Amino acid sequence: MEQFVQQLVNGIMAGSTYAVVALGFGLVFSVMRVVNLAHPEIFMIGAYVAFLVISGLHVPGEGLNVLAAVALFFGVLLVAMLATGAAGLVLERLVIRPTRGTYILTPFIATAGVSIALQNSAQRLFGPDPVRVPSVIPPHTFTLGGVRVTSMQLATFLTAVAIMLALRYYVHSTRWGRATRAVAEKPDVAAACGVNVNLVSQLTVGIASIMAGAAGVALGLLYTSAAPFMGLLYGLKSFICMLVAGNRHIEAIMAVGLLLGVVEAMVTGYISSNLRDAVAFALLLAVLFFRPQGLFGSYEV
Amino acid sequence: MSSFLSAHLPAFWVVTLITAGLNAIITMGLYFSNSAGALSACHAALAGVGGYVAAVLTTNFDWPFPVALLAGAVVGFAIGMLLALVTLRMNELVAGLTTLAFGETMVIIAFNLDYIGGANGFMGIPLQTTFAAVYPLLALVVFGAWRFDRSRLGYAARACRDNARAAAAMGINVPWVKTLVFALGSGIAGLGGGLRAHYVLVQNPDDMGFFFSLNYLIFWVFGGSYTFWGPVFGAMFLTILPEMLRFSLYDRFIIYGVILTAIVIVRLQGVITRVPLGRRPVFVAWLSRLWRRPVPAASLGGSQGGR
Amino acid sequence: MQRWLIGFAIGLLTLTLAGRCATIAAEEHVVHFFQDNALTGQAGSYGTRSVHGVELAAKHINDTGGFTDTCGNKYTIKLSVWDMANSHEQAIAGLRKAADDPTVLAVLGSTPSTGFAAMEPVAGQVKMPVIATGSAVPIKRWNPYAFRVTIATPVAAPYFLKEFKEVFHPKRVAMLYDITQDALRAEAELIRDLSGKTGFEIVAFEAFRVNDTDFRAQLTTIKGTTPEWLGLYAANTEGSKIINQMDELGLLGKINIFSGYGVFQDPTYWDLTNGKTKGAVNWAVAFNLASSDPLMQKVVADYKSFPEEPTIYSVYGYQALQAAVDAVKRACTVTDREKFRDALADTELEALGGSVAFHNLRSEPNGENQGGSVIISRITGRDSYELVE
Repeated sequence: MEQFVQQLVNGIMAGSTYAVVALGFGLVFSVMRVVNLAHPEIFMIGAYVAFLVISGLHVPGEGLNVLAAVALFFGVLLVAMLATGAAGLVLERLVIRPTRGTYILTPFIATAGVSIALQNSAQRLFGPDPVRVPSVIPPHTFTLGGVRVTSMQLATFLTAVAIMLALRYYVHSTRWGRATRAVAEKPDVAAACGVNVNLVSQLTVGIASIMAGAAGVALGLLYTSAAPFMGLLYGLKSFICMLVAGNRHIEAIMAVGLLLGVVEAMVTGYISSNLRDAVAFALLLAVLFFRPQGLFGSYEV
Repeated sequence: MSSFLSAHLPAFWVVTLITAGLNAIITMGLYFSNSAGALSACHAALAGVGGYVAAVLTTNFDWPFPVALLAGAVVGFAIGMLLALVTLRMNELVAGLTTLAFGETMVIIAFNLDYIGGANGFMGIPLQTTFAAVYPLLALVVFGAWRFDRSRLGYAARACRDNARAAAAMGINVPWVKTLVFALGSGIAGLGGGLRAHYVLVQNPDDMGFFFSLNYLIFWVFGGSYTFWGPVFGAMFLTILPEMLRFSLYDRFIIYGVILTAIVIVRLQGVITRVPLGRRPVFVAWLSRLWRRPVPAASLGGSQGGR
Repeated sequence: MQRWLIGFAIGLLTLTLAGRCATIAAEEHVVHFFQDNALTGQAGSYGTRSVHGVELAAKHINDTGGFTDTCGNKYTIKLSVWDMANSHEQAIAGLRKAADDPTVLAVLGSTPSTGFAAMEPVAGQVKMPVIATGSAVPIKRWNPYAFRVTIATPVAAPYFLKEFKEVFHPKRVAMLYDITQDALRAEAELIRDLSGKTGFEIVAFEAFRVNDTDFRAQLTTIKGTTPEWLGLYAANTEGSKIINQMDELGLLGKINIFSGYGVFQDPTYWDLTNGKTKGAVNWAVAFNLASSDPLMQKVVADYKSFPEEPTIYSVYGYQALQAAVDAVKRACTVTDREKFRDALADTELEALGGSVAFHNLRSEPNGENQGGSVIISRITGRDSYELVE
C-alpha cells in the first residue's frame, strides 16, 4: 500500500513537471491556434538563466537560512521570467506574427527552425554537457508514513498550481484576458470590435514565455541541472497533454499533465518499465477515442 | 550510369545526393498521405517499418532486393490503411496526435524486440541502394504524383482537404478517399525506408522517432504543401543545406535553423506553390525558359486544361 | 517572383563553391588523419572529447618535431575534422569523402554508435582503415578495416562479475538500465543472464529511455524489492538524476551502486550529483586521471586548453592516435592504406592509460581491442578512486 501511495505521489510530482511546461504551450495554442515549438527551448533558457544567476552569485547553497533561500528563489525566478518574457516577445514579433493565421503548420515549422537554432546555440555557449544548477531551497525530505516527498518537488508542484491560477485569473478576470478569449474564439469579430489582435498576440506569447521561464527555474532546481536538449522530452509530453486536454479550460491542461504523470508512474510500477510510453500513449488515445473533443472539450468535431 | 556517376562525382556529393533522394521519396509519401487533409506525424516510423521488413527479408531470408523492397512497401501500405481507419472520425489535430503516438509506440516496440536487434539496431544489411535504385524510383514516384494530381482520386483528395463536408455533399466517398490516399503515402514511405536501410546498412529504432517525422513534415511544408514539386524541393534543399554549411564546424545547425525560419517567414505558402492545373509551376516555367519553345499565342493567357 | 528565385539559385551556387574543399596534394612527410565524429547534437559531449584527445596527442607529437618511423623517415601529423551530428548518413559521407582523398591514411572515430555502426561496413567497402574511439555496439560481422580501442562488455563484464562476487558476495541485485543505448542495455542483459552462474539473484530489472528525467517510479519499485546492490547503466545526464532521486527517496545509504565503462570516474558525474557517487563501484579501463604516470599528468595539464574536462573518451581519442602513429612507424608509409592496415592489425602498444592490442586477421577479422586491462574501482573523490581487490 505504501508503495502504491508513493507511486501516486511520484506520478503527481512528475506530472506537475509536465504541466508546468504544458500550460504556457496550451495557452498559445488555444488563443492563437499556433503550436509554438520553441516553447520548450524558452523553458530551457529559463533553466540556464537560473544556472547563470545562481552560480554567478556564488551562492553557498547549503548554508542559507530559509528567508534568504526564499528571497533568492524569487529573485532568480524574476530574472528568468524577465529574460524569457523578452525572448518570447522577440519570437512573437519576428516569427509568430508573420506566420500565424495561415496554414496551421507554418508557424509550427518556423518555430521548429528557431528551436533547432536555440538548442545548438545553447550547446555552443554552455557546452554539450549538462551544467549543475546549485540548489537554492534547502533540500528537505518530508516523510509521511513511509512516503517521501522533497521540498523541491513540492515547490515545483506549487509553481505549476501558481501558474495555472495566474493564467486563470488573467483569462477570466482582467480586461486583456477577456480580449484574449475573444480573439481565441473569433479573431475577426474581436478585431472588428476594436481589440488590438497584435497586442493580444504579443501578450499571450509573452505571458506563455514568462511561464516557461518560471518552469525552467523550477525544473532546473528540481533536477539540479540544465542541458541544451532538456526541452525535447517536455516538448513532446506537453504537446500530448495539450491535445488531450482540449481547448476549453486552462485547468484541463494541468489535470491532464498530472494524469499523464500518474499513468506513467503506475505503468512503470505495476506493468513494465520498458513499455511505459507505449501504454501511456495507448491509454491517452483511448480517452480521446471515447471523447474526441478532448477530455474537457471543446474541439469542433 | 550509376557507377559512372559514383565514379565521377566526389564521394561526398554521392552520399549527399542519395540521402537527398531518399528523403525526397519519403517526403513524397508524406505528400500523398496528407493530400486528403490528414496530418501524419509518423512517417519516419512508417519508413522505419518498411526498412526493417525489407532488411530482415534480404539479410535473414535472402530475398531478392526488389521483392523485399516491395514487401516493405506493402507492409507500410497495410499499416497506413489501419492507421487511417482508426483516425477516420477524428478531428484533424487529434488524428495527428494519434499518428504521433503510433510512431512513438513503434519506436518502443522496436527497442523491445530482440529479433531485430533492439537498441543495437539491425545490422549486416547488404548494400543495394545506389543512384540507379534511388533516382529512377524517385522519378517514378514523382510521375505517379503528377498523374495522381490529375486523376479523379487526386481531385477528390484535394476536395476532402479543402472542405470535407462540401466534398461529401458532392458525392465523394470521403472515408474511402482518405484511407486509400493515406495508405498510398505510407506505402511509398515504406519503400523509401527499405531503400534507406539498404544504403545506411543499419536500421535503428531511434530513426523512427518523432524528431525524424518532424523533419519530414518540415521538408513538406517548407517546400510547399500543395504541389508535388514542393516536397521534392524541400527535401533536397534542406538535406543539402547543412552540408553546404560545413565551413562552420560548430555553428552549422544554428545557421541552418535561422535560414529555415527566415525562408518560411518569407514564403509562408511554401517555396513552391500550387498552380492551377494545366499550367506549369512558375519555378519550372522559369527553368524551361532556358530552352525556349514556341508557345502558341492562344495559351499565353494561361487557360486551364492543358497546354 | 522570378528575380527572387534567381537570387536564391545564385546564393545556392555561391555556397556550393564556397563549401567545396580543394584536395590538397599529398605533402611529403605529413601523415593525414581524418576525424569523423559527433561535434553537435546529443552525442556532442562524447565526440568533442575524443576529437580533443586526438588533437592533443597530435600536438604532443608535433611539438617534439614529429615522429620517426622504422625506415628512418620523419613525419608530422595533420588532422581534419568532420562533424557527423549523430546521423548515420553524415558519418558515411565523411568516411567516403576521406576515402576519396588520397592523402588520408586512416579515419579516427566515431564515438557514438550511430556513427560506427554505419561506418563499419562501409570501411570494408571503401577499404579505409577506421579506428573507433568509444563506440561499444556489438558488431556481428567484422571486416578487416574496422577497429576500435574501446573495451567492450563481452570482454569486461565477465571479469567484473567474477571479481564482484569474490569481493562483495552479493545476493540481491537490482538493475536499472537505459533501454535505448546499445552498450548499456547489452551489459545489463549480460549481467542478468550470468547472474545465476555468478550466484546472485536479480530482484528487479527496470528500464528507462534516454532524455527521461523522472525515475522515481522505477526507483520506488526497486525500493520495494530491497536489493543490496543496484546496477546503474545510464549516461551521466540520466544517471546523475537517478542518483539524486535515490538520495531523495532515502535509498543511497541502503543500496550500493555499480556500473561499467568507468562512468563514475567522469568528473561531470561527481559535479552533477554533488559528490553522491562516492563509494560507487565500476569496472573501467585502467586509466586514472590522477595517476602519477607522467604522460597522464601531462595530458591532464595540457587538456586545460580545452573548455571541457577530460574523460575516458578523451583517453580513447588519444589512444587511437597513438595506435595509428605506431602502425605508421611499422608500416613506413603515409599513403598505402593496405600496408597501414596490416601493420595496425598487429598492434601491441602500451598507450595512455592502458594497452591497445589488435589481432585483426584478414581471414578472421576482429577489430576489438584485445589489450587493455580492466580494473574494478571505487570512487573516493572527484578525480580519485581506489582499486577494489
